[in-house]
Amino acid sequence: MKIAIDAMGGDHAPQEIIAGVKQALVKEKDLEIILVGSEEAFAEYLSVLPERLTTVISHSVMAMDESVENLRKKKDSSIFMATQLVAEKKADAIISCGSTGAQMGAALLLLGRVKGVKRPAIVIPYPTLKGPKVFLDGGANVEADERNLLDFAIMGNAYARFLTNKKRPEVALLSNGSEAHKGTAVVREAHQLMAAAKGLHFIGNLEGRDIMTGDYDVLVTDGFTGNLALKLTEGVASGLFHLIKEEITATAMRKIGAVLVKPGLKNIAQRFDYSNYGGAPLLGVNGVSLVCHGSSKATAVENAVYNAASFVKQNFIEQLTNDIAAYHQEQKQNLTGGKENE
Amino acid sequence: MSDVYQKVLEIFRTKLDYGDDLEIEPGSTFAELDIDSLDLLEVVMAIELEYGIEIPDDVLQEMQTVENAVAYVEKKVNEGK
Repeated sequence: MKIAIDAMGGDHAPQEIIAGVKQALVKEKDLEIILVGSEEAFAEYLSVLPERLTTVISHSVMAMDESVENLRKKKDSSIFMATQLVAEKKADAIISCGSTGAQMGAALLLLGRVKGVKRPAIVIPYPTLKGPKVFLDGGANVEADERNLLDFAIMGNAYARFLTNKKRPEVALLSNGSEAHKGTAVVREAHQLMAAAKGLHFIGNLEGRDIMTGDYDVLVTDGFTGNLALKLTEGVASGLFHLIKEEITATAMRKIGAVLVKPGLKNIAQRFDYSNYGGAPLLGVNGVSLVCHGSSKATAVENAVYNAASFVKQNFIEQLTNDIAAYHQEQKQNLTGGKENE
Repeated sequence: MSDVYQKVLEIFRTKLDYGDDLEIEPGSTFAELDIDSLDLLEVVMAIELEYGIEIPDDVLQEMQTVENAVAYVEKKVNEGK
């Protein structure tokens, strides 16, 4: 199996990307990796090529704040060229820690969409009290209409089935109230569509305070709200840890107790550490494209490599495509009153 | 209906239709078709690839309808003949 990796994307590129790739190659002997990056980067950080690692030279980088339209003029960028390797079947998956917009643009342009999906979404493993749950959209689409939200629900459902082996994962919609009439017009419409979709086990609306409970398998929202929720969680968790540290070390007596609670606090921090989850797939594009956190370091990159390999090995894209096709078939049958199958 | 028109329309259909049997008329505006920047990027790059041309940014900014896109491609194709 070959995995293409954008060596230039991310706050710690290329050194941490290269370090992560090297770690993955040591542990996973069946893997081949193609690193796409600049000649200068490889000269500085990759003087000796490990076995099963090849490089492809790119000549530009899509910056984090760059408009996705610039992809037209940056076909020699690392993200474009790495995605192209998948489109040309020279690699089985692509991983990037760079601009999410550019990665989505390149995936749409070169890999295309899964039939029936208008907008891909980023799915995030959200750390809840009952373990990580499927949360989407993590920020691919700032705006989403009710059809997009339904697509997210169907894709999230397929992803949860892939991760948990549950036949009918519980799917919920994020809103400002649990009643069906709560939310914006789009959320209310999406609620109706999800409730009517036979392939979904829709459990209704959940509120912001329910996100952490984990009483669901899939939670759906638009990319704007999703990204806010994720960043808010990161911020609150970090702030809370700061306050706890401040309080438990405030006096000599408390410091003795701090020693005792430290391992427990470390475990909690681990559960919130995104680097353990190793990237999030861009759901809805016709190929495995893993989005990593912009500040990913070597461990996060290494875990993303294992994650990508698992998606390829288990034919996840095929499963997703089948789920979407089944939904559209159901819709057609509803419209024709089941005559299609007669 | 010219070959260019047919082909460009096909590109719009392929890139924008996701199961709704989207109706695209020559006069359809991008706003009517609910085309956002990513959709436009997909369509434009597919057209550029098909005809080996580059649509400049200023032309793209002025482009508002399917007809506008067809007219520009026809012009470039004729220039190349």
